[in-house]
Amino acid sequence: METTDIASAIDGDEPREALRAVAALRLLADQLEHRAVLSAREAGWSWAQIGDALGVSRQAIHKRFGKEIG
Amino acid sequence: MMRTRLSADARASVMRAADAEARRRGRRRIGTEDLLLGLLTEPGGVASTVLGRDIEAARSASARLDTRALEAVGIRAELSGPAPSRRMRGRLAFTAGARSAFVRAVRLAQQDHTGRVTAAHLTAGVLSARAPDDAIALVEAMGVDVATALERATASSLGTQ
Repeated sequence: METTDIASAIDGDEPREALRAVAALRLLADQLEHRAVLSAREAGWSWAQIGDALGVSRQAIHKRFGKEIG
Repeated sequence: MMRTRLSADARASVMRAADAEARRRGRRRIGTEDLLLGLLTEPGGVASTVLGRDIEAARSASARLDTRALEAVGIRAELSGPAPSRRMRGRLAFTAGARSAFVRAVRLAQQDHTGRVTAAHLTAGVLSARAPDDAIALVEAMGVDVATALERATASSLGTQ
């Protein structure tokens, strides 16, 4: 996979593109997180293990996904 | 002061639709792009008529803008489907741009006899934003001339109730 220097990618470009990319990345991260947590739960991971992997507390991750994913 | 109300039903349905579009895109506030998408959810409504595009075309164009923006910073990825739902109760707040669009819609409505804010006023309010604006970028991404669409929306707001 090719790598990109994000700073140089932004330089000289319209700020609008970079700002929209930030918002799109947040959405992308949310979608990826949702799928990753779902698949981890299906694989038998505990909420604590998932929280550790994401660098957040068990409570934070359970609060966001517990009701839906269980 | 003149009364400037969107008929209660129309207001509720446009705002509900705009809120749903914002959430679908993972936004925490309702922006001009969400307002426009919300207006387009009404099949055969004013926004669809003046733009000559439907909601699906607009959602695709919005996704293309995201993909293009990501490519501009060197990331190749496509967003698939709506954002996972977040627990944000109630109606999302408006962005500054969406508030301005709404104020312009109210002003247009005040020029009418009824003073009631219709979907046509809102469409004209959104389309009269100055670049850079997400709704304007979306209209351009759909290959529609903004000035022409604005003219039609304004004519429609004056001609019908």
